[in-house]
Amino acid sequence: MKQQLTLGEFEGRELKQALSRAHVELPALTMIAHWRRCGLTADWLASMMAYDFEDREQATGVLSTVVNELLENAVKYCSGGDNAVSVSVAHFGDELLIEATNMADERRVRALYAHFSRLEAEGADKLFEELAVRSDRAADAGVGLIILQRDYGVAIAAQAEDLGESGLWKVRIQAMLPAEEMTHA
Amino acid sequence: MKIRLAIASSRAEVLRCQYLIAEVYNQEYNIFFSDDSYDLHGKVEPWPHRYLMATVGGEVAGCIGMYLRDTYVGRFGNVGDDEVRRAVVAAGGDAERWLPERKREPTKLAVHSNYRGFSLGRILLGACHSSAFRDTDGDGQSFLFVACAKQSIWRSQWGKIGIQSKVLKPFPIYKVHEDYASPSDPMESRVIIPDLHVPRAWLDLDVPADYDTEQVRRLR
Repeated sequence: MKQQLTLGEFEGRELKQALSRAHVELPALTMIAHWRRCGLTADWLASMMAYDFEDREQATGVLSTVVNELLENAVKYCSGGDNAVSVSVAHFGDELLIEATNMADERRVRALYAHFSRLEAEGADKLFEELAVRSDRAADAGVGLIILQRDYGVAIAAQAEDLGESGLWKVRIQAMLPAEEMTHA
Repeated sequence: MKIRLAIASSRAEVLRCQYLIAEVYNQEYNIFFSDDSYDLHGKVEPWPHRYLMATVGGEVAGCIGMYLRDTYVGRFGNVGDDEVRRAVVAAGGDAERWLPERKREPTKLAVHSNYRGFSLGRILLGACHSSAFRDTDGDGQSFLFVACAKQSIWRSQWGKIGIQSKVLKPFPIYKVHEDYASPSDPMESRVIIPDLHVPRAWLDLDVPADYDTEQVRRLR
């Protein structure tokens, strides 16, 4: 039987209600081979969406950080270089919904699920403190998501859907970013 | 199997090699690559500068890279030129000829899953020590090799094709190698002095050239 795992408040809002939106899809291998492409993609998406805000520089900086974390996370947890990774940004006025999608095998899904379960149970502050004393924290996929929660007021949710015979799962990570973060000095 | 060994010369050939390496290394070791922002604790590795590829019917079946400068052993293994110089002398090498400033590093050997079982890995590793791949600067001078790998790879890969080496020092532990090395099989930086350590059959191998894998797989 196909399984579905959901953690957090997963947003099902209609994208057509968004004031502005953008979507990018790339083969994972293009970013595995040239890691800076994650940052470049995030910068481009952020710069484009920043036209919705008065303080474009601030908006670009915040949005680029959030998109980059989700995109890097999606690539790190992606199985198979030929599989696509996508990231989208939708601006709903009071909030921005950033969503990254990737394909993952069960091992990676379980690792991600364990990380999110811990995040839910312990909270971002406590988990960050634990990871902060580890010398390899920067390499720990998922630590960036904690920082988004702690420092940007982002609400994170995740959903993984078993695709059946392929052995792959479709993983969606959402970050709901309050629009007010785009104008804070 | 008929193969062609050649240096990747066009940008498209370099990219084909990079994508094959990226796919294999990401699958096996969960690592990523960059030519402008690497971070071994973040599992992002720098790309080699030159690639030797084995093609079958025009398709890249396997490849191996080489750092021409800024070697991994130097940057991340913390091996200085003085240490290389001392190791050359200790191994009985000609210190006037094998200068530590002139070194190259084979790295990132990858074979496409469709072409495994033909000893392509062994052939590429041996062939990358050829003068034809190593010394293409046209100034008539030769380069020595440095490399880092876990001890079992030094034995099972370099050792089996007859290439010897001299240990420089243990390689530090980085996050990027967590799925590769282990305390029971740690990594080491070593130096390979061509005229002492590399069999003549590999040094003189022609590149580019066509080969039968049966013909070259037993060279040593």
